[in-house]
Amino acid sequence: MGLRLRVVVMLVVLVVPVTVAFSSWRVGAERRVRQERAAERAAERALARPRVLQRCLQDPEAFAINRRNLRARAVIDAGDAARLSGPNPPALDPALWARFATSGEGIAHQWSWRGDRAGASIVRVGDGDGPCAVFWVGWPDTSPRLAAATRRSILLEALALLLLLVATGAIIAAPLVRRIRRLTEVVVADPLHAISDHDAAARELRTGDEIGALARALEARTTQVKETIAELQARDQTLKEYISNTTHDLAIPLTVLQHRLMGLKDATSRGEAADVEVIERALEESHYIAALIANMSAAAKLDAGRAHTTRHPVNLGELVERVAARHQPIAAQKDVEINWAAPDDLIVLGDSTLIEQAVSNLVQNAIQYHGGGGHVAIVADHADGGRFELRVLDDGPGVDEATLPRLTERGVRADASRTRNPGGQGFGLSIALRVFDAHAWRFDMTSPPGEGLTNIITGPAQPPGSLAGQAAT
Amino acid sequence: MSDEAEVNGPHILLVEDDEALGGEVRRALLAQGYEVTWKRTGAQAEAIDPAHYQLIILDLMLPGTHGFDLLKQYRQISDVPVIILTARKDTFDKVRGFELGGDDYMTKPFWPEELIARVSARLRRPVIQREAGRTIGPILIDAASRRVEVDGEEIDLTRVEFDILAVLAERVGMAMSRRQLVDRVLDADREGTERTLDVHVSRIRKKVGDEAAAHVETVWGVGYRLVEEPKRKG
Repeated sequence: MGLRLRVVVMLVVLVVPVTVAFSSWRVGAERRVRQERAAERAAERALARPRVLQRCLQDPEAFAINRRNLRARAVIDAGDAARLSGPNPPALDPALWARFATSGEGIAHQWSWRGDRAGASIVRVGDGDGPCAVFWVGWPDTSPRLAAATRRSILLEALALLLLLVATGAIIAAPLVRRIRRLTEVVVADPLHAISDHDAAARELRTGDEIGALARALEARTTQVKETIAELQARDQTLKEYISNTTHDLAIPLTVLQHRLMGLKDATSRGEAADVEVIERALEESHYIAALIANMSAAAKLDAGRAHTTRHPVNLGELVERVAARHQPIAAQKDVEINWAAPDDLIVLGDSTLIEQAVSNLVQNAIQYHGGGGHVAIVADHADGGRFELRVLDDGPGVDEATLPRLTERGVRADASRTRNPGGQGFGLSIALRVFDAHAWRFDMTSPPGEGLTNIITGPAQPPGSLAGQAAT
Repeated sequence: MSDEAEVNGPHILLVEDDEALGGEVRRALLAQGYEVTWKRTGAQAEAIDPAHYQLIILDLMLPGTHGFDLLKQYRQISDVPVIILTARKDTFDKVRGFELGGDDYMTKPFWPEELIARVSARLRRPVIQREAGRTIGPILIDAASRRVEVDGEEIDLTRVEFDILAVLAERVGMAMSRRQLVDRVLDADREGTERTLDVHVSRIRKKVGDEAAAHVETVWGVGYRLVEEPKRKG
């Protein structure tokens, strides 16, 4: 049901019956008053005339007036056994008689809507108790006509009222309906389009009433939806890129691994002893694949933004121990010695997965760039001012002065370096840089000639002992 | 059918549904001299008594049962160390694991050596040694009376030299950084720096003699450590 129709129907349903009822009551009341007056007049004029009185007195028992607009009888034997005169007297209603007797006004009326729609009055014309002092007057039975007329007038009134209300309702509702329709059109046409872009509807945003409030709420909702969609699309994009990069970048080392294993199989099925070096290469390849997967996962996490990184207490000592253990097999293979040291009460706030991956990448790079034989050390310490210092150092070839600053350049996404040397200096380092950045930690690389490479990470630490029961990696 | 091996050594419970991975882990643990019980399903794992084991290796992703529920169950009656295995790198999972009482976390893929290292780390004696007397090879260090003996003979050390040995003896086999040693032992204002530390250590080595000195290792890039088994030089 449309708004206009609803308004109109409600108006009609509320107003018309009330008005009709009120009118009927009023008409009824007026009618009674009229009839009372008519009876009084009848009494004064018709009955008080001497000729009428004389006729009555001559033969009270036979007195009767039966005119069209007046019926009258004399009341015989005023008192308990009162009755009316004349042939075929109508019944004298005891209630009316009682009312007359007690009213003391000399006139009493009775009326009824039912039956023949007639009424009667009892009126005292003369003094005393004799016959012809009190008369019964019957009102003319014009009720049907009057009733019909009354009904007609009330109906007309109701009709007029109805039309008026319909017009009023339509007029009041029209502008409201128009505004709502316009708003609806704008929203339906393009759910993501801002209302403020449509001139006509934009005005609505500044209106003070409820429709204006609705418009503003719709606008806010639209903005929210757009932002959510944009976020979801970005996430979707990140995921797609991650999947496509992973499949692509993994394909290469996996192929290499397969080849090496095939080579091994061929050699051993020919009866040749397995070449340990080939096996070691294969092991390195799979180690590299594991590192690659971990780095891609870290990259996806970083790309997805703050929402996906957590901050919790991280025990740096345990973290360093894990990273050292992880690289131990490959280091041993390459004859590189990994050493580490950390206090057991060094806690920092951050994302343990990302931090571990970052440190692991630095260690991997340190091992990678050794010609074979050499040392890598991971050292974590408390530093002044409630800070921590984490160093990853090696005695490898180091990096020359010119290249060093480029490596730590901010904002190097290293997309290109990913395909060329994933897991190597480029990608692994860029992940590490992004992780330290995300934690707002300081990162430096130094490589004095002949002294290998030293990575230094510093940042705030938790006060020792503050998280005694919560230390976790 | 559970797999039990008759080997002496700490008894480890392995809860892992993957045949290949479980087999590999069990093999690696047995090779280290541990006793291994391998449960493959959540139902079997629920039925065990954690008090029988010195360490539990628990895979989170078991079909039909979540590892966290098992962990909660075990933690109700035991503080046995638990290492959680999972393929998921979600840090949120890790934190949850620690909240529920897990002690360590390994994400797949991992090298068998990595797991062994974690297991040893969890099973070894508490890190800080405050025993009255600690013997490393021929060296005996008595923290209470501040005496050091080599092969029964008392060695005369300065306060600083004793403190250095005592601190290193708290974590035999684990390296300590120079900075840590300096912070713990030297009064920075007066007695100085990491250079000074090196001088002290070289004096200690001279005093205890060559055989004992081999137990005091220089750790490249880090600092020093006391070892039970000195490396063969050369």
